[in-house]
Amino acid sequence: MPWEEAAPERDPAAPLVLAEDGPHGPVIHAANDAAQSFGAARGGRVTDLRGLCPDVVVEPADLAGDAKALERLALWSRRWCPWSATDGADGVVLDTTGSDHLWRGERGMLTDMDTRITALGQSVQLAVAPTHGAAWALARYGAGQDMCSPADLAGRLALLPVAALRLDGPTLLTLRRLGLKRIGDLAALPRATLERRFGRDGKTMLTPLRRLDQALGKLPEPIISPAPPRRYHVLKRLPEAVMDPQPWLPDMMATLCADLARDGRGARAITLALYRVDGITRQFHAGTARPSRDAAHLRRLLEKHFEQLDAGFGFDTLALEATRTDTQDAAQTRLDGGADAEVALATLVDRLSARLGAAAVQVPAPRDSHMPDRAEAWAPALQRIGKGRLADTLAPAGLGGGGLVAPPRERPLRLLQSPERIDVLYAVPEGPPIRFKWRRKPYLIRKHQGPERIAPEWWRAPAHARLRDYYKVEVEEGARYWLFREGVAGDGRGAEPDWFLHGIFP
Amino acid sequence: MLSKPEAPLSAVSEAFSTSRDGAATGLMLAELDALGRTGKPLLWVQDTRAAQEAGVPCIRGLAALNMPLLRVAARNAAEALWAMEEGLECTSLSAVVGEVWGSPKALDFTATKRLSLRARRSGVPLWLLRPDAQPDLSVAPKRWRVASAPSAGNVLDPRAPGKARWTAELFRARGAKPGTWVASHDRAAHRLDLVAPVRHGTVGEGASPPNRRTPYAVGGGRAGA
Amino acid sequence: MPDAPLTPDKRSLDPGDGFVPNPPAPFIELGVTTCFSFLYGASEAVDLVLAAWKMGYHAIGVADRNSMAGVVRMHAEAKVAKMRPLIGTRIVLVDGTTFLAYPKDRAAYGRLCALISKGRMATPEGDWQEKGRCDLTLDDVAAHQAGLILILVPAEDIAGLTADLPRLVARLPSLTHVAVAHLYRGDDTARIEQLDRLAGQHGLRIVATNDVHYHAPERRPLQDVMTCIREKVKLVEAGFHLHANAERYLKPPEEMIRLFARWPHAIRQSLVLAKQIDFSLEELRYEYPRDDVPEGCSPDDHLRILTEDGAARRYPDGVPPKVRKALEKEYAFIRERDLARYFITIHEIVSQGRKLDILCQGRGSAANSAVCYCLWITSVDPNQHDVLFERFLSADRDEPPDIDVDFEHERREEVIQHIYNRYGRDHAGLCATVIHYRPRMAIREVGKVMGLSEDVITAMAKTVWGSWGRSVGDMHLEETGLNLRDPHLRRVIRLTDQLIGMPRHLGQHVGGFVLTEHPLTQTVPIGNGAMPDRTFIEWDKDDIDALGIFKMDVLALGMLTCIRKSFDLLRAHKDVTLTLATTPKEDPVTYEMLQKGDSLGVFQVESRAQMAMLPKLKPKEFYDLVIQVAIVRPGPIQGDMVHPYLKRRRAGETGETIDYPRPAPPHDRDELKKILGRTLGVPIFQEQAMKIALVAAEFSGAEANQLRKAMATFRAKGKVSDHKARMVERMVERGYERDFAARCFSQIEGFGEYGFP
Repeated sequence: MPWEEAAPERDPAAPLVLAEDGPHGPVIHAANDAAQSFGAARGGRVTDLRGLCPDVVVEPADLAGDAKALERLALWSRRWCPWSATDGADGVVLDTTGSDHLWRGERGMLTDMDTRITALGQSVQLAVAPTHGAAWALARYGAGQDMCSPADLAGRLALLPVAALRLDGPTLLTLRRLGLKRIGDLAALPRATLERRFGRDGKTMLTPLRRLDQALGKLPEPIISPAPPRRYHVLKRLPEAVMDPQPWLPDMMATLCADLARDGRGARAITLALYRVDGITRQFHAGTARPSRDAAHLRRLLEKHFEQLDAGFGFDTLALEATRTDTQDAAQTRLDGGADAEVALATLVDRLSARLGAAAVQVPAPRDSHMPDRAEAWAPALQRIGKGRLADTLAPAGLGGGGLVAPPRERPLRLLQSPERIDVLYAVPEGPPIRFKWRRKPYLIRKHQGPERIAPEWWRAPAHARLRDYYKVEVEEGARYWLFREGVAGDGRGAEPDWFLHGIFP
Repeated sequence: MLSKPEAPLSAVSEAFSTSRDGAATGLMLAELDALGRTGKPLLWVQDTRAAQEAGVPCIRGLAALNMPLLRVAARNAAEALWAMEEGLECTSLSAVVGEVWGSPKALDFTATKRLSLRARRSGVPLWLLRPDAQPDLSVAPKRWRVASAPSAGNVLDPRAPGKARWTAELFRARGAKPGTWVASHDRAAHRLDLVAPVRHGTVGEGASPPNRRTPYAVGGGRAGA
Repeated sequence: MPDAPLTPDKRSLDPGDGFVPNPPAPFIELGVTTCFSFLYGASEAVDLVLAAWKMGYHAIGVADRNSMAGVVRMHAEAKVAKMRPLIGTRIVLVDGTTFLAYPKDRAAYGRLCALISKGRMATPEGDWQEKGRCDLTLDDVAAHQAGLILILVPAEDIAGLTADLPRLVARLPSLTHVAVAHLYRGDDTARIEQLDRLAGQHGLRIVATNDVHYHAPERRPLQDVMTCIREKVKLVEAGFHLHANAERYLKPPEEMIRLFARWPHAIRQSLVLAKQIDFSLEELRYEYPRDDVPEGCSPDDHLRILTEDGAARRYPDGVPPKVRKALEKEYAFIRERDLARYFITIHEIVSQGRKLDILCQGRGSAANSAVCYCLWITSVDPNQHDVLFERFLSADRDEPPDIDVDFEHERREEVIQHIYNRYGRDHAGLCATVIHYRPRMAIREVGKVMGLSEDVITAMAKTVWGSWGRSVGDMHLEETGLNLRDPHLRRVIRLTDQLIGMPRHLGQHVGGFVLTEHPLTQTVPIGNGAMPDRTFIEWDKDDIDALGIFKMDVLALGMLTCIRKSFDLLRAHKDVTLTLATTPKEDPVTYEMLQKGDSLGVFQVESRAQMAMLPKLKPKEFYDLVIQVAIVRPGPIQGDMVHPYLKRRRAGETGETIDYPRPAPPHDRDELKKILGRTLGVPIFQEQAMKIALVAAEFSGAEANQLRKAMATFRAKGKVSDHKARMVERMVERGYERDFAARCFSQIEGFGEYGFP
C-alpha cells in the first residue's frame, strides 16, 4: 500500500507500546524505553498515554505468538540442563542441579546464558537460587545476575518486597494495607496469623505463607519439564563411505514413515542431509501438498537430487527428517495400493513441484478485480492445496475469495503474459479499431464488439492512470483478439492513447 | 480406480496452428467438453516459449467450462514432456494438455510414442498443442491443422463477432479418413460440430449429413449436463 | 440555549442565481439514485439538479431505493432550477428484482408510499421489521400497482429474464417498460437489442436510462467508498462489489441519444412516460389535519372566537389598546396566509395538555404573537415584551409557521397519545431526522475503507473540532504530524471532504409531529424506529416545511417537570398552592440569589458562563434576565457588545441618559434610541440587529429578508461581503461612524454563525 510505503522507517527512539484489549479499551502490554519515559507502564490505558505522549505508536500485542516463542525458548534452554519450563508469561525456569560445573560453576553458566540470549536479540534478567521461588524473586527484584547460596537464602529474601513472592493483585493489596512491605515483615509474623488471614479463600497453594515456604525451600516445588516435541528423524551412520547413498534410503524412509504412522501424522516437508567424509554437507528438501507417509512417494520426491550428485570421497552419514508434519487420517491411504483421487492429485503435485520447483506448478488464484491483469493470478499449487478438497481449490468457479461472482463478461481463452503494444488505426476519440499491426504483421478488422470500459483501480493506481476500453475484434482471416485502448483522447491524462493486444479468443 | 467411461477413440491428439491463433485451443476445449471430460482437473503444461508466444490460459475465460486447472510452467520441452508423462499417470485428471512451441529435438518420435503409451494405459487423453511447429514424425493417431475462420453471424449485433468457427484439417487419422471441416463448439449442448465446408467438400462427402461423417464420436446429448 | 442544529447547513440552489427554464429536452433521465439511497448514491439533489440544468434537461426523475426520503430535496432544487421533478422510487424486491416506479397521480403516489411503508414496517412474514430495512415481495407490488408506471430494471445477468419476464408481465399489468442502460459492459449492443426484442415479445417497450448514481464521473471514488462502507469491506478487497467503471453519471441528452442511436424509441419513451405522470409533491401542500373547526364556521372566525375568549380571561380589565392593535394585525396576517387552522390545532393540543394538568409552554416564531398569548399557548405578555413580537409578523411569506410546545418530560407521552387518539395513527406521525456524516465519523469510515491503521485514523479524527464542521478544512490535520502530501492520505482527505454532509441514515425526531388530512401512509412512507412500537416518516422537518405540511414540535422539557414537582412539594409541605400564573413575579429574594451567582440547577442560567455573568450583570428584574440569557452567546460576544453593556449598566445609565450614535439630519436623530433604549444602546437581540438594518441602513423588507436568510447560511455560502458593504455604506451615508456600522454588522455575523436566541 502506498501509504505504508510512504511511512518512514521506525525510529527506535520513538515511543512505542504494544496494546491488548481491556474491558475499557486498549491497555498497555509492553512499552519501549522511550514510551516508559513518558510514563507508559504495563496495564495502563493507551488513551491516557496518548494524552501524555500524542506521538506514541501503538501496535497490537501478539500474546499467543509470545507464548509460543517463550515455549521455544524454554526448549532451547535445555542446552544448559535437561529440565526447563516456561514460568508465567515472561519467564523460563531451569533446574540446573548438577549442570553448572560444565561452565565451571554458576557464574560461568550465567555469563554463558547472558551472552547467548543477548545474541538472540533479547534482554534477559538472570538469577540462580536454591529454590524456584527464590530464583523467581531474585531474577525480578534482585541486583542482576544474582546468585544466592542456601545459607543466604532467608536473609536475601527478607529484604525483597512482598511482590517478589508471586502473589496475586488482591493479596498484594491486602498486604500493603496491612503495612507489610518486605518479605522479612511477613516472615516475622506468627504463622498462625498468616494462616488465619489468608488461608480461607480457597487458593491454599497461593497464600503468602505457602509462597514463603516454597521460596525458602520448606515446601517442595518441582519443575514440571514438558517433553520436547516429537521429532521425526532417522540417522544412519555407515561403516564406510559410499558414493551412492540411495540404497539406504528405502529403509530410512520406511522407518520415518512408520514413526509418522504411529503418531497418526504425515510429512509436509522432508529434508535429507548427506554428510561427506571431507566434512561437506548436502541438504535436499521436498514438500508435499498434503500430509504423506507413503515411503515410495516421499523417496521419489528426492530422486532428482541424485542425478548429478557430487559424492566427492563418499558419504558416511545420512540424516532424514520430516521437518514439518501434519495430522493424517489413516483412511486417506487405501490398503489396496491404489489411492483415491485426492491423494492421486496431491501426489502428482508433489512430484511435479519437487522436480520443476514449487513455483512452476500452479493453480488459479484469481482475485476479485475488474482489472484483468490483477484478476488473473496463479499461485504455487503446493501452497494452495492441502486445505479442503483439492478440486475445489483448482476450480476457478467462484472466481476469487470474496464469494462474489464476477459480472458476466466475455473473456478470451488465452491471455498474453503482458499486454503487447500495437499500432492501431481508429476513429478519434472513442471509435472502434479499424486495423492494427501486431508483431510486425498487419491485420484488418472485420468485426468488433465493445468497448467494455474498465476504469483504473484509483485507490492503488497513480492519479494519472487511464481507463481501458476493451474490444473483442475479428480480423479478416478469422482470428479473434482482445484489444484495449488505454485512455480516451482528451481525457486529460496524457498524450494520444496507446493500444495493446491482451488476449486471444478461440 | 477410475473406470474408463466414454474413453476416446484415440488417446493422443495433436494440433498445429500459429501461435497467434486461438483456434487450436478452442478445438481442444470443445472436444474435451464434448467428450464429457470436465469437472476433473485439467493439467496444462506449457514450455516457456509457448507461454511467451501464445499466452497463458485465461482463468476467467475458462471458468465457464467447469474445468479446474493445474498449470505447469516448464522451462523447456524436455521438462514439459516429463511433466506430461507424470500427468498421464494420474487418473484423477480429465486430460493433459501439452503445449510445446516449435519443433524441439526432445519432442521426437520416441517421445510421442512414450506419451501415447501412457495415455492409452491410463485412459487420460492427451492433447499436444504445437504452436508454430512443423508436423514431424509422430505416433499421434489424430493430427489436426487448425486456423480460425470467420465467425458465424451475430443476430443481436451484426457488427460483432458471432460464434467462433475454425477450419480444422485432419491430415492424419488412424482408422478414419482425413478431411477438412468447419468446426464450432456448441457449449449449451456440449457438442463439437464439424461441418464439411461447401467449397472444399467432394461430391460424396458433401451429400451426406456432415456431422455424421466425422471420423469419431463428438459427444452431444450428455445426460445430466 | 436552543439545541445545537441537528443538521449541518444544507447546501441548496439559490433562486437568486438566475435559473431560466430549459426548453424541452429530447430525453429525461428516470433512473436517478441520490444519496438518499443511503450508501448507494453519491450525489446530493443540489448537484444532480444543477448538473441536469446545465446539460439542458427540463425535467429529471428521482428513484431512490425503496424510499421517498430524498424526493422533497429533488423537488425543491428542481423548482429552483425551473425544472420539472418526476417523483418515483426504485423498488428492490427481496429476491433482487428491481423496478423503477413512477406514480401517475396523487392516488397512485399514495399507494406507492403505502407499499414502501408496508416493507418498512413489517417483514414479509408479518413480523416487526428491523429499522432501516425494507422487504418487499412481488405480491406487495402487485397489490399496490394501480396507477403506477413500472419499469423493470434487468439484472446484470439477463440470461434468466426470458423465463422470468412472462411471469412478471402476468402479475403486473402496470409493468410497461424495461430499462436499458449503455454502461460500457462490452456487449451493450447485443444486450440492449436482446432486451428490446424480449420486451417487444411481451408487449413492453424499452426506455433508456444511465442508472445514474452520481452527477459527474469524478464522484466514482466516493461511490466506491460508500459501497465499501455499506458492504463492510476494505477497498483493496472490495472487488466485484464495485462498479467496473465511472459511467453511471448523469449524461447529457445528446450523449444518451448517441449511445442509443440504434434504439431512438428508447430515448423517446422517456418523454412518453413523463407525459403520463401527472403528479407533483405540491399536491401535498396544505395538508392540514382533520378540522378542529365546528361546522358552519370558517377557520378564521373560529380562531377569532377562541382568541377573544382567551383574551377576555388574560385581560379581565379589558384588552389594552396596544394588544388590540397587535391582534387585529395578526388576524389579517393569519387570514392572508391561511394559518387559522394551524393555530386552532395547536390550541386544541395545548388545551388538552392543560386539561390533563400538564405544564406546557409554547415557543417558536409563530408563538411570538399576541394570538398565541390569548390562546394561552404562551405566557409572554405582548403588552410588556414587544420586541419579541416582531418576528412573527416580519416572517417571510414562504416560511412555514413554527410553534414548538414544551411539555413536562415525564408526561409528554400522554400528550402524544392524545394526538394519536384524536387524529389517528394514520394521520399523525413523527418526523425523521436525517443523520449526516460528520467529520469525525466520515474520516473514520473513509480511513477504514482505505486501509489506514486504527492509529492514524484516531489521530486524524482527534483533530476535528466539535462535530459540526462542513469540511475537512475545519479540521486541523497538520497537528497529526502525518505526511499530508502522501497521495494516499490526500485521497483519504478529499473523499472525507466529499462524504461529510452526506446523509447516513434516518433517525427519529425528538418530537416533531406531522398531521395530515390524507392517511399518512399515503402521503409519505413510514418506517420503523429502533425501539419497538415507534414509527416515523421518511421526511425531516425541512422537507415538511418545504411542502407546507402541518408540523408541530411536541417536546419534552425536564424543567417543567421540576416546576410541577416543586408545586406539589409546596402544596404538601408548606400548604402553598401555586400555578405558573399565580407564582409571584419579581421576587426580590430570588434576584438576590441570582445576583450572587447562586443559580445551580436553574434553567437557562445554570451554565458556568451564565453563572459567571450573573454577579457582573446583577439582574434586578425579569427583563434583565432576558438580557442575561441573550448576552452570554457568541453573537454579542463576537460583536463586542458585552462590555459596553456592562459598563453602561454599572455606571447606572438608563435608556434616557445614553448618547446614541446618531444619523445626520434630516434623519430621525432618535431612531437608534427607539431600537436600543431597553438594552442601553447596545444591540443584543437579533431583532434589534435586523431593525438597525431596516431603519439605520434603510434596508427594504426584501433586503432584510435576504440578510436574515444569509445569516443562517453565512458559513456555507460566504456571501457576507455583499451585505456588509451594503449595510455599512448606507449607514455611513446616513451619517453614522464607520466603526459603529462595522460593529453592528459583525454582530449580525455572530448571530448567523451560532444561531440566535
